[in-house]
Amino acid sequence: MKLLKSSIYIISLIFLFACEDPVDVDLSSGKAVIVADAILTNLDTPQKITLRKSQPYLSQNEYEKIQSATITMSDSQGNDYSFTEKEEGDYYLNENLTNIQPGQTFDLSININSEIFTAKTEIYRVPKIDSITWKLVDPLFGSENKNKMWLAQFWAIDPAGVGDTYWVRRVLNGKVITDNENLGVLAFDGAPGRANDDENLELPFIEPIGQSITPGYGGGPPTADTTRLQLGDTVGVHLYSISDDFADFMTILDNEIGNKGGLFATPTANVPTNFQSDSKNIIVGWFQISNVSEDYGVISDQKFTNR
Amino acid sequence: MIKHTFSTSILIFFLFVGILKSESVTLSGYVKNSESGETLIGATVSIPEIKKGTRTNVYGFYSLTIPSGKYKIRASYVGYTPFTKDIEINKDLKFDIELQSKSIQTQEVVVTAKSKDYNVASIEMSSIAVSTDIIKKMPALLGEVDVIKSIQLLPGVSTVGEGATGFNVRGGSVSQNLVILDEAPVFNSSHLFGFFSVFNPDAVKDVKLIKGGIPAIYGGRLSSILDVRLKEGNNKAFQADGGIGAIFSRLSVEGPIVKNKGSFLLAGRRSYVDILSKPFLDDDLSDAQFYFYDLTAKANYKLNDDNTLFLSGYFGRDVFGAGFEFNWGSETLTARWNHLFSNKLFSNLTYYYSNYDTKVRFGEEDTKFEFGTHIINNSLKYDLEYFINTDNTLSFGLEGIHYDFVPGDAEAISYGTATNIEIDDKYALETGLYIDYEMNMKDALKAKIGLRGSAFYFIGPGQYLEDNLPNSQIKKADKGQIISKYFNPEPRVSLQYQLNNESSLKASYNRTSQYIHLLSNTASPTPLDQFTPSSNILKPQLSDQYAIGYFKNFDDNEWETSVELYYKDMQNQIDFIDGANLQLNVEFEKDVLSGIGRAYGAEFYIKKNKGLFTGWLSYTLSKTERKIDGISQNEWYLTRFDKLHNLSLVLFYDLNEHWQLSSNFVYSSGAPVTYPTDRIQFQGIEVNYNSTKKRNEFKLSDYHRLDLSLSYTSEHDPESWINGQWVFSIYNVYNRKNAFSIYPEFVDNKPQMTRFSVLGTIVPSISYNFKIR
Repeated sequence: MKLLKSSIYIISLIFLFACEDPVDVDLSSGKAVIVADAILTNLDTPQKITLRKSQPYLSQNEYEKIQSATITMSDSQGNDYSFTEKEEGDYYLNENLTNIQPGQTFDLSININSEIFTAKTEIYRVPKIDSITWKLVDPLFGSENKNKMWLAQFWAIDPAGVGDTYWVRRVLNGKVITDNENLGVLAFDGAPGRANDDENLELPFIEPIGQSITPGYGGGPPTADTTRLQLGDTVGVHLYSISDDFADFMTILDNEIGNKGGLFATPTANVPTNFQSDSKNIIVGWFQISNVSEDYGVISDQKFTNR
Repeated sequence: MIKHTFSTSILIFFLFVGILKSESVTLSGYVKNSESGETLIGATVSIPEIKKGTRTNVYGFYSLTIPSGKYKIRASYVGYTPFTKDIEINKDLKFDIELQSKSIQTQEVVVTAKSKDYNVASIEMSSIAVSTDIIKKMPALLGEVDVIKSIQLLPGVSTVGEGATGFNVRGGSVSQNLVILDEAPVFNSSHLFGFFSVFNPDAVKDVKLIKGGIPAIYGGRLSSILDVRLKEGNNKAFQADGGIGAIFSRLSVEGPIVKNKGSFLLAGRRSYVDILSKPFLDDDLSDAQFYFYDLTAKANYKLNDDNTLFLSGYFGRDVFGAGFEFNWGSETLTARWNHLFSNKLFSNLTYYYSNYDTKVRFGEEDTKFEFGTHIINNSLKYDLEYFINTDNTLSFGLEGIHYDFVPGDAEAISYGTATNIEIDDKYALETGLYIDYEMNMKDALKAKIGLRGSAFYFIGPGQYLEDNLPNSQIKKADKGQIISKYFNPEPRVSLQYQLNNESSLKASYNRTSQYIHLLSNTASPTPLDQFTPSSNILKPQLSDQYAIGYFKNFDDNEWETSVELYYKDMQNQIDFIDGANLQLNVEFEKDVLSGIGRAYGAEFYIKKNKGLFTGWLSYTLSKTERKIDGISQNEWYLTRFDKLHNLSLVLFYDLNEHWQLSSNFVYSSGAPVTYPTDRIQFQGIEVNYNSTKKRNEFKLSDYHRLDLSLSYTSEHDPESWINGQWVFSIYNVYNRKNAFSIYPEFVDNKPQMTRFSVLGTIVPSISYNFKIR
């Protein structure tokens, strides 16, 4: 679909007949749903689950926080975990997950006003990041700024065997950058799509995925001039091991964010969820515990790698 | 069952061969344009004294069986001076007729093709022939005359929106139309995603849209037939036609190969926005490629009175690129042999080849991704028409189509290491056997009864999914192994009751089947969308359509009116799960859902054929829905191309013999769409959420637009080698921003709904057309 968008972009540059403008639409919204954002990692940082409610699309209020829920978790090795609501609607894990192992499974239970919502997750393997490199390159197609720009790339080897799925998140100056323009990219055995199942090789993550830690690369419209990397920036990567189901979740989420009408828009879809419940209240969101590899480098014109 | 049908047809055939041994004689031949030698499709040949007549077939051939005697024979075709001659026929006679085009003598505007009272007198319903003369007179976007855009102004035809590919007929999707160019199917009829169609108007002779009462000769698609026939080329003298427009220029040449025996036509077009805009583009865009071209060619040669050969082809491509490569195109080739077994039995043997392919490439040399798809058809088709007598005509034939689907040949190269992501080709065989019998039962009642038997075999070698359960596995079929097979009898019945000279009642029922499915999950199909065969999982699409109509003409056929009602039931209609992955996915059938559909509506049509003011008004009231488990809470939902009201007004006005004004006005209800009603936040990302969980619950604002065009034709000077015409046109005269879609987005951190208009501005243009002789 990116391809079609780029082609349409070229046409629109030439024809200049298309136009976009804000309009009033009556979006009669239904009953608010519960949103559980439960992405935890093995990193030694505070791990939290947030509980919010959905709101009408055009509302400009803050999301309503769901307070006084009870969250508990247990793993396949018989350990129990607990969460404490330190801020309204934000529940922090009291233990840590730094020693999780591939194959280990976790059960999460959220109790909101005596209604129980449960979800499961499994831990998958993740390779170490080999290094981060950077170089000066020509600007992206369509950029206003014609000066050369810094292109950073991470290097890692996807282990032999089929079925490894990753979520690559960009880190800039100590902050994980995730918003509507920066979802991160998905990698299937180190590539954007799963190869034939007889492949059983150790292969490097392909270039576009390695370069996705640079703003403007790895999806989104290629004109993000304002967010270029600068000398002295600390650029980094968080490589998450994830399940295929979570990859589907992120794919639908990506489609929905990029689904901006036009000739080739797909029908609006709701993101799936791995939460289950007997409650009449609808819950959306995802529970996932990921093994994460991290690495960082400071962009310098003296050396071109962090090793 | 196939055998049974075939033997029945043979039996009927010989039955009528018996009837033919009477005292009657047969007058047969071709009706042609006197100037170019081009045969005329649907011209009337009649003998008024005995009120008998017939019409020429798609090759311009007629056959009239009458008692021997002395008659005044008359031939007519709208836009041509009628021909009359006294002849005495005692034995079978071959008699070719040449009609002189009126446009040479006067500038009379002719809206209809065929004979004047065709709509009332013929058994055909739900079908409209549009002459290329009319298509050329209508205002067009950027002055580019367009076959597909023109038929969108007819009753029962709609489109998702501006710039969308194809057209929707009576609640059918774009992929349910059989678009054929000299019998070869065209899988993507659009250039530039959907802004222009692939048919070069200079090469097109006849366009016919069949929405219902589909004759048994046609099969393979559910909804409609768009039968486009190419010109044969002038077999008397050389001529060239062309035009210079804002987007592309076109040139066609035609002329005799051997005078009066054979002719050729060669027509080409190329867009040149890329060349014109090059100096104005930024450096990084200067390498951008964006153009399309097409070449249409045809040749025919008359071996003798009984045998004529035709060869025609189309070749066109759209090319895009800018750091990537994206191109697609179609190729068709048709070879035909017309053979007259007798002056009553006309036959045609056709071989055609059709290919549609797409190519995509990102990156260069040692780091790149390449991806290509194809659909290839090879077909052999044999059609016979037996003109038993003026009251009985029998058509029958058979067809075999071989399909080769190439869902994806992909190669990813990373640092020189290549990874193949290859999906096996899929092969299929489709066969059809048909018989159609048209009879005048009494003076006032006509019936056409047809049966088509179609069969489909999904065959190996290749991969197939054993079932569409989450854990179903991929299996391998051997070469020639039949993975699944289907057979469908498709009855087709049409009735006509002539109330009087000026009015008639018609009714029709037809069943159609379609064995290929377009995997398209977008508002308008994209060039990358692929067709896939019916398989052990995907069942053939079926449709039953019932239609009735009342046809009445006024003032010696100056005014034509009609009302038609239709109802359609559809089975095995596909849609897709949320986030379906349809490209390069061996297991795509796990993402496909299947259900039922229904469509119904009323179509009103008023047309004025003669006078200074001519044109038509078309209004359709309709509804089209699908019900598919897994979508919209398993309830009925409107399709994206549903249009409750759809109105078109097309007018032509002759200011004088040089200046002509034409206009289109279109109005339609807003298309049904799905909006997110709510939003949620996840990992800092704002995500749309639709709390209704229903599909297409909202409607866009109504669509309306006015286009105008003014043309100036220079005085026709028989001495001059060139005659020109200037066309000034304005698309979207009152500058309306019609919504193609409305989508949610955050602007300056505030949520809003944004309207997207594909052509949200007035578009003026000038073009020049010429004719060289």
